[in-house]
Amino acid sequence: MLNYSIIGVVEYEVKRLKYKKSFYFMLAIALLPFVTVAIVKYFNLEARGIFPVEESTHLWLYLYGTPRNIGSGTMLSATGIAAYMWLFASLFGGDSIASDIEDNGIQLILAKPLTRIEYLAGKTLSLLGVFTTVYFLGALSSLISAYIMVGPQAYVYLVVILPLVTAVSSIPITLLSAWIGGYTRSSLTGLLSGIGLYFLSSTIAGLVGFTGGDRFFERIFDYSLLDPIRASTQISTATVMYLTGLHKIVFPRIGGVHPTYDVNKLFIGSWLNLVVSSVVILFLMVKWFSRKSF
Amino acid sequence: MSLVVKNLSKTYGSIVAVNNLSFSVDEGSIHGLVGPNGSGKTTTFKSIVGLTIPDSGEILLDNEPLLGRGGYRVRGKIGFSPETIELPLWLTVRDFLYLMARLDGLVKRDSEQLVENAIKEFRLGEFADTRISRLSKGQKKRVLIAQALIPEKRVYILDEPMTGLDPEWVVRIREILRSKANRGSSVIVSSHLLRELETVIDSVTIIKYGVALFTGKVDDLTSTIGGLGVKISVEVDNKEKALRVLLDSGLRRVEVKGDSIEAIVDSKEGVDRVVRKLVEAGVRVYRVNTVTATLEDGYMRLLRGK
Repeated sequence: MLNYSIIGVVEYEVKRLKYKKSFYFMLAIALLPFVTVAIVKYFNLEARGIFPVEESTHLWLYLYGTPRNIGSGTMLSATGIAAYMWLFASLFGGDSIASDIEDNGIQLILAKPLTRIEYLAGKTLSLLGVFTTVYFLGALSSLISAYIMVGPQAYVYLVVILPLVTAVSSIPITLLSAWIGGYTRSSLTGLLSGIGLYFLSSTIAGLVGFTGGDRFFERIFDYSLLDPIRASTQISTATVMYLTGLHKIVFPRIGGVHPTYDVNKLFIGSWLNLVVSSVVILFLMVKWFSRKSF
Repeated sequence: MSLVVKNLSKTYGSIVAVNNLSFSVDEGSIHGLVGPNGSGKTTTFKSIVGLTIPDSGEILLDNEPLLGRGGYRVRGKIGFSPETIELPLWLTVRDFLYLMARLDGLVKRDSEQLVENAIKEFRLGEFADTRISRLSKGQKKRVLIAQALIPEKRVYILDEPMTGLDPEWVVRIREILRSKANRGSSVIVSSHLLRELETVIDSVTIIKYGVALFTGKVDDLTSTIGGLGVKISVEVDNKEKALRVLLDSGLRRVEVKGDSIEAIVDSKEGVDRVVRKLVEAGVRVYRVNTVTATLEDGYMRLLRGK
């Protein structure tokens, strides 16, 4: 299955990414937790009570971008690399086929003895490989930074699992951006479409949530399970919650009831959505790509 | 036959790019595919190498089908250099050649060896580690041709290879193509530089609006000017009288050119008949030449004549 031609495409793609500025931007975000450490130490934030967060032994998960609980350090987790999965998926996906069309590499590649499916497989594998590697660096830097700030951390084994989960969860957005970028023969259109879809689905999820009144968050989560973009952006968080034994999320309400949400439902639903949407998008993409003239 | 194209057709929406095109290329020969812009040359090449899926037709390489399932493996026997000189600008020449070899399915060591051969044969050493974006147009073209010609293949397809090259490299590429053909590979070349092309090709297919106007040996085209006849040039004592005789004989394209009269005769045998008629009419014939047509003559006559 993994023949030399696919390996050739993977090598080609990895080499291409090495020359891209967005790759170094992603790398910088992965190493951002070290900047957080520097700021915390320089301004002595621990002594001023700003650090640690409530769950200090889980701090590294927040720094990585996967809040273990709602309302607890979620602002901090907004700076973590996993929170930007949709951006990197759009950036790299939108560019992957479009750039080959733009610089004519596609004519040279597809004239070689490989099928178009092998080309797409090579592209997907290389992006998954690069994503996993950089997310791993992000997880590692989060873990080290958290250790420096607040001491020993829990769930260290997730350093290996989480990057792979984050990378795999980016498949639907990556494929959609790649498809649109390839169809329009424009990397920029692919990138903007990926980002646009993310914000559009977030807005729709928010609007649906508002119709739920007190059940605002539950409505958002329930709706998200039907939406491939939203579902894929919360898989890492859902997986962290599930694997760390958090089966219920309690939504904090000021002066009211505190509704709870079933994490298992979120975990299973978002993974199911990922598999189904990835298969459907891939099927439609292959169908389009296999008949396209270059 | 090494490569056979049978009844190939391709349309893009309402535009017919290739219409029932058929031609074949012998083993060890160099074949030219010529025609005006938009005549379907590039679409034909792209169909052969799998960049375009034709609507109908068949393409065989050593009797193995190139279209449909499994065709991509047969494509491994083809080296292809597209018309454009747009290349991945971010790569160095060495990296580019290496990746092209890897995509051919070669292992790392063989790919590296191939790159060294390409650098040597195409004299790319001085800019081997330079990014493609910094190369001149001619240097890019050399790199593009090198990736197609360096691996040993059964067929080489080069779309406009001479465009952008300096005269030294035009000659060099011609030598390389001939040596490939001498070793048994087939080469298909397209070019608008017909005089240059004529020096290297053995056979030719002329297409217009995706239809083949002529396919066969270059000699067959030039000796009969694309099947339109033999061009003669006669020098006589009385041009006006000779002109009348030639026009009355139903010859085509009768023109006075300086001291002589040129005309198109249907066949080589017809030349004797024309001379006899002139003599019978009392015209003194000083000299009769059959003008050897060039590929360009044949091409122009075909395009204007049909």
